[in-house]
Amino acid sequence: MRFFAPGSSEQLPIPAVAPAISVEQTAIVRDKLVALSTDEPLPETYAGDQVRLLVQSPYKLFLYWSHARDPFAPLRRAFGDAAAARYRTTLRFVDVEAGAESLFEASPARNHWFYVRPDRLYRAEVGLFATGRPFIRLLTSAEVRTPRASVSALTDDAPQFNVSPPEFARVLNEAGYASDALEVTLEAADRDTDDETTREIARRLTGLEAPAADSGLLAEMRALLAALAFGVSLERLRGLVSPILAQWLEQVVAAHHEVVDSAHLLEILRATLALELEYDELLSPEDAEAMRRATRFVWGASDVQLPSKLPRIWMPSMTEGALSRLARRREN
Amino acid sequence: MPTGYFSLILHAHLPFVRHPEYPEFLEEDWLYEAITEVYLPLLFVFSNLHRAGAAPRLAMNVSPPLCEMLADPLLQSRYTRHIENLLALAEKEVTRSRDEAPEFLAAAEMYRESLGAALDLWNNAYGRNIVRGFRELQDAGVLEIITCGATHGFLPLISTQEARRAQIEIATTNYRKHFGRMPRGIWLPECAYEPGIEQYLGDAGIEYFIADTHAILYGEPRPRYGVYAPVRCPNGVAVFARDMETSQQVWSSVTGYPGDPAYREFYRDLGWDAPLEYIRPHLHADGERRHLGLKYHRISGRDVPQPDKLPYEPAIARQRTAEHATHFVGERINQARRLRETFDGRPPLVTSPYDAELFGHWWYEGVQFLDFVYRNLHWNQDEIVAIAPGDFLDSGTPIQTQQPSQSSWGAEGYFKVWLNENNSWMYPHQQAAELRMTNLANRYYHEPPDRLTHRALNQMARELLLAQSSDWAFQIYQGTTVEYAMRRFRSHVRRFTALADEIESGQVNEERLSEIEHRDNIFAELDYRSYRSR
Repeated sequence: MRFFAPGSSEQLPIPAVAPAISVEQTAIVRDKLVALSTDEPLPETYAGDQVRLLVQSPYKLFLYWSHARDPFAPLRRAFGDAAAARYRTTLRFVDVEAGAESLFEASPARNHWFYVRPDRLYRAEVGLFATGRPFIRLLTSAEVRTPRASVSALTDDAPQFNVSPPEFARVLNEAGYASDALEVTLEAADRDTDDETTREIARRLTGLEAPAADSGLLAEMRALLAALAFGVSLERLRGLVSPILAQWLEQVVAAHHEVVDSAHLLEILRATLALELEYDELLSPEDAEAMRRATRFVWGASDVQLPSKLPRIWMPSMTEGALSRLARRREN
Repeated sequence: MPTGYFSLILHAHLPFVRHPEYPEFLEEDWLYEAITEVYLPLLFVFSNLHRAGAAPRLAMNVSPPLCEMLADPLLQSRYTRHIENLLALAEKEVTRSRDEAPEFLAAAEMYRESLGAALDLWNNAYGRNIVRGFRELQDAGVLEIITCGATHGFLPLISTQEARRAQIEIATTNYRKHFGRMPRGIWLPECAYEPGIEQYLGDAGIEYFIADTHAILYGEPRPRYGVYAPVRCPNGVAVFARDMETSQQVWSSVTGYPGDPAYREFYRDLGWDAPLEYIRPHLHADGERRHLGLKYHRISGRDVPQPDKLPYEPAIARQRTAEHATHFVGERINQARRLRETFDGRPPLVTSPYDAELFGHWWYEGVQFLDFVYRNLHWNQDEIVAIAPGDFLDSGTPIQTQQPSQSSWGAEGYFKVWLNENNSWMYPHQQAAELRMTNLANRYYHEPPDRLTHRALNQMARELLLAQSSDWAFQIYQGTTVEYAMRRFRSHVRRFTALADEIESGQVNEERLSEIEHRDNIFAELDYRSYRSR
């Protein structure tokens, strides 16, 4: 009889099944740890003050805190009950490098989610605040840097590892990071046109003049265009960009809501840069959802980010091989 | 010089689940299913490939909790009972299908034979301890076994330097216990990285870690070779990052190989399909239906409803596996040629990390696929060479220095899976315990404790480590076994807190300590001083 041992493609003789070996039977033991069982709630707070600012993503931070003692007690002793009652527990959130700060009302749950931007340094403070009075700082978190959500602007000084934007775009594209590849392609075009390409594409897309841009804002505009090209909605992007770009997007949405979409942008990219996006390999939202659901199972597999960035872009500068593959695919 | 290199990296991990207080426990089945469907088949296939001269080479992480469970006599004994019971059912199934449902006979015979072989391997080849099997494959030059966080703790969400360092130090000590040497590499739990983690790795003598794609692509400065070569962190620890193309080919049930209609359907299982009375002797004492691992249907098609799935035909699936393996190797050659052209002649390295449990459990034919892939790589082509990451480092190829970017391999690429609205409540408790552990470790580093306190301190460390398992937050996020995950986390925090209170009050309850030690017996070699400040 044929026999393939588990997982093997190699045909083997059938082994003798080992005799059953008696198995230790474990008696049910009385649960001596009932006093430590799981139904009892965990402590509300722990000894000592606690404050931590944790990174969830380039766009979201989580703060939690607790006080070892009633934070209002010293206030009541110093100013009396009536004055102390005007104060509220308040969060001061600081964008360290920009020197900007905002105040948030603290939740009784003693935690808060902050919406932030990538690759920036933040700090949160928990304190007491009353209108017209200075903020009284009680707890200060460590400073936390959000992750970068795009490629670095820096290239290696060593000639052996220095990579030009067109080369890097190809590497990104091969890795399935097509949106980043598009961004770097725009960067290369900007470099050849005194930073005019991105602004020109933005102008053609929206009919509005793009805001005056330093190198940081220009990089952000490239990221914005790349995200739009890959179908991210304007609504979503408005929440992710810097205030200057967000304001510009407001104007764009107000003036040209219908025409600012990925299809229109793709036409402009074709006309301006002879770029092509390989949309036929893009997963539909339904496919992506099916993929996510199908990879959920009881144990043994992580919810790994799958290549939602499957699509490729094709640039005129790409190798003959790549272009002919694209041509073949189209023919098929 | 080859056109390119290919490095397969398997991550074998399950959370530490061991319940001696019950005669049987549903969640222990995770381990038993994985031994039968994944670990024994992998050992068998790679041993065979080695014996056949196919020179297979890959890296594999066998996580510390998994090593501890595989080496645990109670779980070994329970697994023996489990597989004997399953084999008895498979034998019964051959008779039943022959008489009543011949369309399932081929699958029933396959199960009887493969389970018989698995039991033979378990008892006779590995003496019921398959860690030995992995160790032998490493010693034979097939596997480069790498370590992981001690309990798969999500390092960026561990709050203190001491607790992060302890996850690494305890893992490497445990690795030495099981594998008799120090690990060269580490699978960072969930591939979660933030700048600074490399310091702990370097201090522990670890040469490299595995990260997700954007750790390198978004690193600074820009990587000349993308993810197709490792980079080195400023302290010299190397980073190998995931190739998306191979990931998608194997991982995706929609666009990847595992979704092929000929392959076995995961969700149709005898445990749910058969009359209850028939399978009752093979269920737990509570008589509740559960997955038994005998599945008789094939995927049949993406839109085919479960009741309409067609019978599984092992021979057809095997043929499809061979075709997919040939395609996979062909694609690696094409990919390497393209990349090499882009890299001015330098051979690219494609790093392909996967959960080991994808192969055999989720994708039933996956282990067979790997078998065919390695046979193809060795005998049918000469452009791609399979290597382990350590081999690349040994080659002396120049490696770019870069500061990798903060990242994980979880959904959306950062930390959302392990820190979100449903599981954020865990961190104040975990992180308070991390601080308290170090406070007590510092105190008793300078002032040696009595024997009982020493035991309690070590057990506190075990409870903290078990609470830190990223598996609990993951399960809560996924919505699978949420209740169990929450109970486990809470129980470890409560045991930790009770022990800490007793130590601080100078009144350790020995009977209760013994009971906790008996239950949570991971890392017998652990020393609480790993948590001291340095």
